[in-house]
Amino acid sequence: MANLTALATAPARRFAAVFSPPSRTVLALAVICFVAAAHFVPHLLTASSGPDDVTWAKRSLEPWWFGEPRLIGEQWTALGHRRYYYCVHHPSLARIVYRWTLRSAGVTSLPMEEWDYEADSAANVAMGRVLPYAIRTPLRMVNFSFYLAAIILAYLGLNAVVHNRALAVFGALAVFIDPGAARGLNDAVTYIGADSALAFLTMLSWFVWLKSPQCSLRNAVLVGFVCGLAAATKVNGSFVLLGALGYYAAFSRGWNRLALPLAALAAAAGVFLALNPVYFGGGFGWAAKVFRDTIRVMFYLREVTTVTAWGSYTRFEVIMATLPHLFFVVPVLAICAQWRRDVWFRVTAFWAVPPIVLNLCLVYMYMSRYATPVRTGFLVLFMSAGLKAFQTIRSAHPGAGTRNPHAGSAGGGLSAAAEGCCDG
Amino acid sequence: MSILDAQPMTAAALVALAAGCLAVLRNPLGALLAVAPLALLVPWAARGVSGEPMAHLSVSAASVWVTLILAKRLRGRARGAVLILAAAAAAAGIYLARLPEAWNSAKWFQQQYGYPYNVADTTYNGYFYIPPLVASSYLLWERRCEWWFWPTAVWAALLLAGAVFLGEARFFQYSLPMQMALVVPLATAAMSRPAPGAGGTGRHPDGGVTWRT
Repeated sequence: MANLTALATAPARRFAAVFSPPSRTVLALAVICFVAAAHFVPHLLTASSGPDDVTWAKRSLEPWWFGEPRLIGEQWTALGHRRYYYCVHHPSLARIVYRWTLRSAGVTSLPMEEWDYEADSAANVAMGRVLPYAIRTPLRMVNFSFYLAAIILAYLGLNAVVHNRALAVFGALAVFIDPGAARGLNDAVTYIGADSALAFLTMLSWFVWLKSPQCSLRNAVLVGFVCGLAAATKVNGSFVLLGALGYYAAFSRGWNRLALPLAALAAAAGVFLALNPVYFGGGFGWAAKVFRDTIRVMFYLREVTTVTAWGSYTRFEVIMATLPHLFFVVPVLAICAQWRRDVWFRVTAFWAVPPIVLNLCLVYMYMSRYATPVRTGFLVLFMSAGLKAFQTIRSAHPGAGTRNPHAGSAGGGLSAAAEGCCDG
Repeated sequence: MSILDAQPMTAAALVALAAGCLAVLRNPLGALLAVAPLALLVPWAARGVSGEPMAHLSVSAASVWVTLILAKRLRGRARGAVLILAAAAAAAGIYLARLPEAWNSAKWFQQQYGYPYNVADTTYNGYFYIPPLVASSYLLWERRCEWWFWPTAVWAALLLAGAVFLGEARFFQYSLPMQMALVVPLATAAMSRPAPGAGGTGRHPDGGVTWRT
């Protein structure tokens, strides 16, 4: 009975251990909250309304469950067309959160028209297509909450790697707090859209994966579930899932090389479909049409954007603006190579590299919110490897004064748990 | 002067950096690898953001570094002569580059092409180098006892400070002086092996991993 109780409470105890000891955790979280609030909130409160704000607010107020009849042809009413477009334009999670926020604030409809992207900005403003302050501010505070949670998850993940709260706080803030960011309307925190929610869910997927690195069915389903949430937030959130599938295929044994990726994929597909009910109710042909239209809208928007002056950049320029750290490649490889056999590094690399590579392949113009997932992946990988090495040097110096309980086994708990943990 | 005229000077700067890395690492492949990212990503690939002043500054700064490195390996009059050469290279660079224009590439681009270079969000990329510096600081700490470390560190710090404080429009990812200041010390440290007793290192001299449990 005692064993059963211990087994039942193990996840809770493991979760509580993340925040232990409480005094230092509270101090670390207070520092993170203060720095993040001081950095982001003043700008969020004073930023003007952007072109996409009205579109996203209207999209959020429409039912995300898509109550229209499933018609393959063009037989909808204008309202039906608009609702369908909203559903295939972006997956649902950010819409659901925004909808809940707006309806909690008593907003059920917006009187103004959507932004006309073919007219200039002044004409749109003159037509009153601006999201009122009382509506855009709560939505931006939702973004800030997501982003703050992402920073906290980065802190918890880095602490799990380096076992040093001060270094973890410093690293998490260095990854997410760019002194030059959050000044425009197209930063992930300011922009009313799916980007800050995506930042949160990608960090959540890293943290969950890092804390459950063993190749077991339970972990595969758990990681797949969180990756499904990321995919249900923005299409490129699915890149994290690709990394998870590769990880389970690479480090499992026997049939698990096939079974665990399939389990993760099934969990991700399940949560994605549950949050996007537009796929149901019309058979396989209908679901295929919705999927096709989702991809088509993405490429349509890309074409529309690149024919304007916004898109007149070479591929090299876009990549260098999105990830200007590329010329650090030699130190990055040198620092990362030494941890290549540690499980925390494998997890972080499989989590980070697919989004970096695929986003850089697909990104067609520089925008800081497009750069956020790329830079986050790169910096979390590089920062965890660099801080781990720094902490190890610190622990190796006699009299360095470290209080690191894992100093004696500098590989840390994740490394200790790592050996043989991926044997299925 | 067009960007095409500036390119030979940029190439000369890279050759000088490779020579300096070779003197430090004594390994031709390592020297090439250390300089390769600069060769691939130098400003000539980015519609000519780099101009004549920046190319002058790059050649001058690379020459100063090479002479400082050589001076550490020489004694007596030879060392004095090399140090005089370093001072001359620095003075020529400062004169030719018309500081601070060398760092202010946006102004140069505006003069050449008649419109501002707007691909990058100048504020967003203004501080991109800080997190990688934090992450790789341990490399510098490990190599602080190496003979080449302090000349390189002081040289890089001055170059970086110039870029940070004198550059108005911070297209740092296209700025060769800034790339030199960041990449040369870090890549050299990454490609070299730390001296015994320089502190705990992440890598065993044979490249293995020492700390895994």
